[in-house]
Amino acid sequence: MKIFFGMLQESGWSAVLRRAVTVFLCGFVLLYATLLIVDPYDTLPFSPPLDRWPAASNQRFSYPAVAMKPEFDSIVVGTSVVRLLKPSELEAALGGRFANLAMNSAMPFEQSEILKLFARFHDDVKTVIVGIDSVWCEPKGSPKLTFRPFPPWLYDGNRWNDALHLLNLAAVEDAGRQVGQMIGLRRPRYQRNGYGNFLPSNSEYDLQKARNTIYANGARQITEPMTPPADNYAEYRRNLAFADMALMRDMLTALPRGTRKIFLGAPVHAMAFGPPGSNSEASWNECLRRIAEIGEEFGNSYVFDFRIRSEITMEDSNYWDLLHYGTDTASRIARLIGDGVEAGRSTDPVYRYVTP
Amino acid sequence: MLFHSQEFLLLFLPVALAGWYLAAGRKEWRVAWMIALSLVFYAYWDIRLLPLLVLSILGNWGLAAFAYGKLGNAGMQRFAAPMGILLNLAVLGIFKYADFVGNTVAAVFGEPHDPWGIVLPLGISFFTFQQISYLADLKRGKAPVYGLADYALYVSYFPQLIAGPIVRHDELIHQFDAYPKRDGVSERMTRGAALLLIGIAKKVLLADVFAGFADPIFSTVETERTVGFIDAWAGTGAFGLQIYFDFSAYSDMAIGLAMMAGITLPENFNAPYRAVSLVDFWRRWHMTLSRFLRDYLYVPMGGNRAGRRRQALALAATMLLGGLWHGAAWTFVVWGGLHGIGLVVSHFWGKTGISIGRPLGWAFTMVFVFWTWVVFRAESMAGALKLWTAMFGLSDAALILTPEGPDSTVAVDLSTAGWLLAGALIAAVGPTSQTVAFVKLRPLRSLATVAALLAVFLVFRLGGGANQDFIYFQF
Repeated sequence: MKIFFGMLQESGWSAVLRRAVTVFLCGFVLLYATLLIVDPYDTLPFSPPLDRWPAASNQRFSYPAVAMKPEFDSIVVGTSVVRLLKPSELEAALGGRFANLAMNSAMPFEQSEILKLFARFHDDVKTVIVGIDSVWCEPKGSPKLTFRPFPPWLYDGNRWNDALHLLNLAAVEDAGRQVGQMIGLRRPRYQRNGYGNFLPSNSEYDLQKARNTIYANGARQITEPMTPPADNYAEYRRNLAFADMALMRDMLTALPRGTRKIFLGAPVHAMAFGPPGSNSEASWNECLRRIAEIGEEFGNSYVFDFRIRSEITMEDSNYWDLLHYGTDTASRIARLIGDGVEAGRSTDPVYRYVTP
Repeated sequence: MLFHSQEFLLLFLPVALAGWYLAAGRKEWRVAWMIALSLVFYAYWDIRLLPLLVLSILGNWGLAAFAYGKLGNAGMQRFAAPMGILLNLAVLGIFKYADFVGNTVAAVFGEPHDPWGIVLPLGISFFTFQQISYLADLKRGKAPVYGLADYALYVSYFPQLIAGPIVRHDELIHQFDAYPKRDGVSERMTRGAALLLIGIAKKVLLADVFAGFADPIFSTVETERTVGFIDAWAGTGAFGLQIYFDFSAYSDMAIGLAMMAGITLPENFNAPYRAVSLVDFWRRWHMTLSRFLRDYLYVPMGGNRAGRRRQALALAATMLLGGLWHGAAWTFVVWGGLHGIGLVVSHFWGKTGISIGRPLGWAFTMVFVFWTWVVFRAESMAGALKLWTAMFGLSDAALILTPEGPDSTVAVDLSTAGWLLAGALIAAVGPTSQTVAFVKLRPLRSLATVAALLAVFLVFRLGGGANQDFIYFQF
């Protein structure tokens, strides 16, 4: 009671002002200093060497630190359709030390930014895998960004200015996550190489639930081929434009000449691509052919297209939803990429080797 | 630079105040310092706009000093102020209304109009009006010729430069002479900071939240889709609360910032959603604009001294022009026109002596004010008509057609309703910010601790680069 009434005790305005300024400055400095020490995005050059993990749930904030780490020499970029490629399995198939920095719904611009950042911090980039999906093949180009915040300051290669960008509640929240991960209260969502299995455990798999996302009414359907196939197929393909190919060139220019470049048309479910003989199929094929053309210009490149009707893409039980295959399929893809690179051709009917 | 941005709060404001108080003993230094800071503040948005502000200040002051100073004579003085006012209106017309006029003329002739790409300088409506009021007072012999520095600071003083309050020269300029460290400096600093904090909290925690509810509804009616009855009222209610909290938050920040430097700016809002008639509403809403319109439009047009018909016409014309002042679009003209008609009715109803009671008066006033916000906010008349149709229950759409679509959950709708109710209660029942900061606030150290911690939270909340502009910046 005494304490309560003590709190209501009036004092002079100057004492009140002093208190307000002191508490503000102390609170501000304390919070900011904590952020600088915790270094939630693990990019500050002067933060103490603590046992940090990627902490932000938005990968656009978590992955720049991974991209700048010297322990990797190979990288996967792309969208969620290549997120399940396990670095250890890629290393077994292709050699090198992989980071998987594919980000959910990453636009070509975002993919190119993370790849360029990786290239800036690594003189010797052994292998780059670019997951190709429809975002690369939009006629007018994809939007630069999604609704997810993208922090350009983490991609500028300058670690010193990052401190100025930590004055916000998202950084406070991510610092909380980082601390939780450091002291073992929270399980990291992403490993130190960026890999994170976003699927529930296999025991939770429900085929019908998967089919509900694959088919409009949840019942299995067969996509009928276009009859007759779309007219002017060759001419249609010739006239197609893919605005983001400029970004692709720009991205590849940032890589050392000797880097092995693997473009991977990821195997989304067959219901996600157009019927055989359709314009959308023609557009996809042409997009990959153009990528193969660009790859040839830069050399040491391979284009593998798993987005074809195959025992992978037509088997519902391989998928959790229309776009995302399971971990077994991911392991198989990693092996097949290794085989394909070694053979310089397709080694299995589930993928094709695309040439210009 | 927004008041509620980290660069302003952590850098600009401390530097501005430090310079002001360091130069406290020398008026010419502190005024020069504040002019320089104000010009930096303005140029921070778009340096290309700075010459217009500087030329406007120099032009108006030059005219005043020449015609009404030692060199002036009666003949010159008869024409100088009106000519200056016309020039100010011409500048405002070119920058703000040229495309609107072009559009309208082209529409009359059935031709398309290619916009001329004229950039609307921030705050032009506000600093032009202040200077017009000064010239009008000069003409009436109610204003002296000030020194250039005093005049320049009067127009450019950064707390009120962009969106008011619209300050009269005789309210502000004499305050520049006052010694900033005079008795009560700590109290003024504390109360000013408290009002600034309240303004930031209102903007970030209320206005921007209501914008999130209102924007999708108002965007939907601009497409081929429509909205249902409940969404129409919720969207309108949300916008009514948004604009109140947004603009009054800006005024709170401006008045608080000035108070921190020992300068008192006039009150701009006095709980307008407690008004029991439309006349009462306009005495409480954007009070400095109402005052300007009354003194420099309504009264010169005859006011209440030239018969009822003339008074009604003056009221309607004043509100039409007041509507147009808000923006170069027919929606604002219609909004002003509706308020003009409403004010005439409200005014003459008051003269009849028939009372409908305060609760009913409040209810009628609020329904009218919120109903007319629709046309104020809508991007087109077609959109406004669509929303009004939905508000009358005549829309084809379901009762609730939330922006998230048919899958939206009841929880989302309940949360929206909860926010709207809380906002409405604060607006209609709660004390005004100025009452809290300038009257009720007591010197309690415990309160200072809580407020300072809230300030730390808000400063971090403002980070991340997603702060919304104020609605009135576009006017």
